[in-house]
Amino acid sequence: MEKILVIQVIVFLLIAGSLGGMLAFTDIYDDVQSGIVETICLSCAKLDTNLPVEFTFKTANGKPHPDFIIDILKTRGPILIQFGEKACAACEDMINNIIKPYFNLQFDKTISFDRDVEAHGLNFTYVYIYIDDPATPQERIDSYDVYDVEHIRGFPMFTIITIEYDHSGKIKPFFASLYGKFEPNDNYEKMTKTFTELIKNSEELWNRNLPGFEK
Amino acid sequence: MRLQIKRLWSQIIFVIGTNLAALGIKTGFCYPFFYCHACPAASGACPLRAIEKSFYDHSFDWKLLLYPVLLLGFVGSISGRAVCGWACPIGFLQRGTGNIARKIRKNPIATKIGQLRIEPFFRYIKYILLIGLVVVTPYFINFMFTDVCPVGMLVGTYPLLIVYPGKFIPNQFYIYALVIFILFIILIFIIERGWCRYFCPIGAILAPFNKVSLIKVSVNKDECIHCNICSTVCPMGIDVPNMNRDPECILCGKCVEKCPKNVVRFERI
Repeated sequence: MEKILVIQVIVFLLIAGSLGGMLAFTDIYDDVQSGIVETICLSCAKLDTNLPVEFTFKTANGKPHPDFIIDILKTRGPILIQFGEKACAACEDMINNIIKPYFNLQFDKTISFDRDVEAHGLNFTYVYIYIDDPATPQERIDSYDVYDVEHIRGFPMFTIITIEYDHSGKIKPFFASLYGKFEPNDNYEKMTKTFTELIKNSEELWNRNLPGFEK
Repeated sequence: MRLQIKRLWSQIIFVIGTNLAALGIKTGFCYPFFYCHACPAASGACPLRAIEKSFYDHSFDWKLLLYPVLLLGFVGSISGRAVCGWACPIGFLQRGTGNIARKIRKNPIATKIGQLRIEPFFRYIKYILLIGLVVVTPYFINFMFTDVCPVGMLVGTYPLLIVYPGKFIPNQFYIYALVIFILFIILIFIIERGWCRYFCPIGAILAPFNKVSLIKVSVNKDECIHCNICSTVCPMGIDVPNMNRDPECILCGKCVEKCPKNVVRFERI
C-alpha cells in the first residue's frame, strides 16, 4: 500500500514540477497561444479560404519572400505591390484611372515608394516599385521574380500579399499576382471591384493570422 | 446533490470553459481532453495537434511534445481518466447519445457482438491511432489524424462555415473526413462511449495514468455480492467487480452510485 503511495507522489511531483518548469522557463505557452489557439487551423477544419483569384504560398522562383515584405506584413498590414516600368501604357492607365483616384494617392510614377493607405474602409500598404528608378533598392527590383507566378515578365504586375495558415501548421505569406488589366474585357469599375475584394479578403486573413505570424 | 447531477454540472461548466474564446479569451493551454481549436470559440489547443506539430516533417520539437503530454499527465496523475467522464465535451456529447446506445444494446444482434471475444482487442485501436496517426505519419508523410478528425468536423468545420458564410470552401480532406464523421455519429449512437472506448487517442494517453492516479474507483471484493449492477451501468463496459485500476475507467461514478451494498467507492490518497 505504501509503495504505491510513494510511486503516486513521485509521479505527481515529477510531472507537476516539469510542467511548472516548462511554463516558467520556456516560451511554450506563448508558442501554443499564437501558433495554435489564435490561428484558425484550416487543415483541422478541412477547409480552404475562398478567394476570387488564385493565391499561393509558393514563390515563383522558389526564393524566400524579401525582408521588406516580411517587415511590412509583421507590422503594417496586407500589401498591394504595383510593379511598373517606363514606356508602359497600361501602367499609366492603371495609375491614373484606378490607383490614384480610388485610393486617393498622389505620387510621381517614376519614383518607387511605399505608403499606408486608408480608403473606402480598406487598410493596406501600397508598394510602388518602378523598375527603372535607379534609387529603387535591388531587393525590391528582384522581388518581381519572386511574385511573377506565370513567368510572364509583364507590366504592370499587381501582387497582393497577406498571411495565411499553410496546412503545415505555420502562418506564411500568401499572395496572388495579376497582370496588366486583369481580364480582356474588364472595365475600370470591375477592376476596382476586384482590388477592393482582394484587399478586403487580405485584410481579413491578416487580422485573423497576425498573432501566429508575429512569432 | 446526486453524483450524476454533479457530473452534469461539471460537464456543462467545462463545455463553457472550453469555448471561452466566444468571450475573447484565448489561452496558451492545451485541453486535457478532446476538443478542436479550429472551433471559432475554442480557448485552448488540441493536444494532438501540438504532438503532431512536434513531429512534423522529420522534425522533433521536444517542447511541443512534452507540453501536452505533461498537461495530460498532470491531470491524469491526479484523477486518471476522470476528465473523460467529468470534463470532456465529446464525453458529454456521448453521455447524451448513451441512452440510445443503451437501448440498442438490448438488441440480440448487438448483444452477440458485445459478447465477442475480440471486443477487448478493439480497445487497443486508440493506442495504434495515437502512435500511427499522431506520431508516425506527421513525421514521415503529413498531418493525418487532425486532417480527418471527426471532432474537428463537428466543432470546427461546420461552426466555421456558419460563422463565416462564404469565406471557406472544403479542402481535399473534407470528403474523407465527412465519411469518418458519419461513422463517428453512427458509432456514438450504437455503442455507448464508443469513441472513448476504441478510438480516442487522448484517452490512450490518459489511460496508463489510471494505474498511478491519486483518485480511483475501488471495489471491496470481500463484501461484493456479485449482482453485476455496476458492470451493467458502466458506460465503458468494464467488468467492475474484477477491476483493479482499469485503464478504461473514466471515474464517472455510475457504479459507485448504483451499488446496492456501497462496496464500490471513490478512493483518494
